[in-house]
Amino acid sequence: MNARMNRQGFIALTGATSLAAFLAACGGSSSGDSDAGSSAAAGSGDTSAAAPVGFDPATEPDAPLLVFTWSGYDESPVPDGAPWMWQEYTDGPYGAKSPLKFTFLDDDTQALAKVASGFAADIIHPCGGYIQKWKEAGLIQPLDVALLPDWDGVPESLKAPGLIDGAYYHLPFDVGFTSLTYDADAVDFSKVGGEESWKILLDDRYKGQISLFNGPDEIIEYAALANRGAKDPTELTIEEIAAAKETALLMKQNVRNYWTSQNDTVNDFVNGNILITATWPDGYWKIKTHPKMKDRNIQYMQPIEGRLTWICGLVLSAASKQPGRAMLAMAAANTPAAGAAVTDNYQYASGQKAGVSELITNKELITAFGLDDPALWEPPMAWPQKAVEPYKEFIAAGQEVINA
Amino acid sequence: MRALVVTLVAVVVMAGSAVAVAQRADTSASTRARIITALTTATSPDDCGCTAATRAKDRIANRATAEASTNTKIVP
Repeated sequence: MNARMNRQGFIALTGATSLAAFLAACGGSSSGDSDAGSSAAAGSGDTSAAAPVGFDPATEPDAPLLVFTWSGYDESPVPDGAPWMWQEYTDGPYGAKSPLKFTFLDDDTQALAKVASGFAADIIHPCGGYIQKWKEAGLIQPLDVALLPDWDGVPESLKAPGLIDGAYYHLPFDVGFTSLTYDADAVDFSKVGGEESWKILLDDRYKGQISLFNGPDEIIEYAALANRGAKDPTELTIEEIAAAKETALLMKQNVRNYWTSQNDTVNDFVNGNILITATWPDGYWKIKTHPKMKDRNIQYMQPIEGRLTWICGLVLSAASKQPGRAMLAMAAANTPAAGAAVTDNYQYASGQKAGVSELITNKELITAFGLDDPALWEPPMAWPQKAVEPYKEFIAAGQEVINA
Repeated sequence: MRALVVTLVAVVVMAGSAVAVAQRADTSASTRARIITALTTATSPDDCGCTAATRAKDRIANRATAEASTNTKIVP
C-alpha cells in the first residue's frame, strides 16, 4: 500500500510540476522563452512534411543551444556528466559560437508539458514511447539526417519508433533491453517448456522471489509475451489486453514487489531476497559483478518470446532557431566514440552500432549485452519500445494489476 | 486516495491550461486540438512515464553512493 501511495504521490508531484509550468506560461509572460514556445506551437502544422530539410549551420545566429536532457548527460566532468557525448561539437566550429547549455528532464510527461508551455529547448531527449506524442503536439520537426555523418550506423529497428509520416524525428542514443536477471543455480525452466521464457513468472516454485518494474505498460507486455509468444507486445487487441491482464494477475501471485528503483532490486537480489528480477542491462551487470554473487551463475534471460528494448534519443525542437547547429550537436552524440562511452560509463547500449565494439574499453560488456550481434536487437529477438496501443486500455490494465 | 484526487485535479487543470496556452499562441484550431490531445493523454494519472526518469534517478543515486563511499567528491 505504501508503494502505491508513494507512486501516486510521485505522479501528483509530477502533475504539480507540469501544472506550474503551464501556469507560468499562462501568466501573460512576454519573455523570449514563451514566445519561442508559441512559435513552436504555431509552426506545428508545418512539421508533418516528410521532405528532408536542408539546414545551414553557417547562416544561423550565434547563441547558446539549449539541451533538455536527463541527468548524467550534460557536459559536467565524469562521473557526473557525459562530456564524451558532446565533445565533437564543443571542439568544432560552432562550439564557442553556440555553446551548449543544459536543463534536466524530470520525466517524459513533465518535459512534454514544459516545452508545450513555452520552454525553448533546441534539443530534447525523449524515449520511444513518447516520440509520437511530441510529434502530435507539433513540438518537434524532422531531422536533417544529411548532417549526421554516422546515421547509417544506427539500425533501422532502432530508428523505427522515430519514423513518422516518412520522416525521421528521433536519433536513438541510449538504448537497452528489459529482461529478467536470474540466478541460474536456483532457477530452472523445466516447468515452462525447458527454454528461457517469460512464463517463468508463472512458476510458483519462485513465489515471493520475483521482482518486476513498476511500469503498467511493461507488466502487460511481459504477460502478453507469455500468452502470445514472439509477437509485438506493444500492439494488442482489447481481448488480448484482457487476457494479458489475467496472466499478469497470476504472475503477481509470485511477485514479491514491483520496484521503483533499480538500485533497490539489485540490493534485494544480492542480499538473497529474490532470485528473478526485471532489469535493464546495467542492473544485470551490477548483480553479476557484485562480490556477493561471485560464486553464482547470474544470467540475463534471452527468452524464446523476445526481450523488450527501450530506445531513448534526441529530437529537434520545432522552435529551434539553430536547427543546423543542433543537428551538429546531435551528430557528436551519434559518433562511435560516444556510443562506446555510453556503454563503458553507464552499461547501456548505444543507438550507434558501427565501429563501437572496437572502442569499448570493457570488452566483457560486448558479449554480455550482445553488442556484437545485431540480430539480438531485431524482432523477434527483441521488441522495440514504442507507444502502446490501444493506449488507455493498455495502461489501465497494467495499473489495475499493480493496484490489485 | 488524497494523492489520487490531487492528481486528477492537476490533470484537469493542466488540460484547461493547455487550452489557454494554445489560445495565447494564436494557433490554428487543428493545432490546438493536437496539443491538447497529446498533453491530456500524456498526463494520464495511470501513466508515470517513468522508465527513463527512474534510470536518471538511479544514476544520481549511484553518484551519491560513490561519493559517500570515498567520503569526498569524485574528481575525474
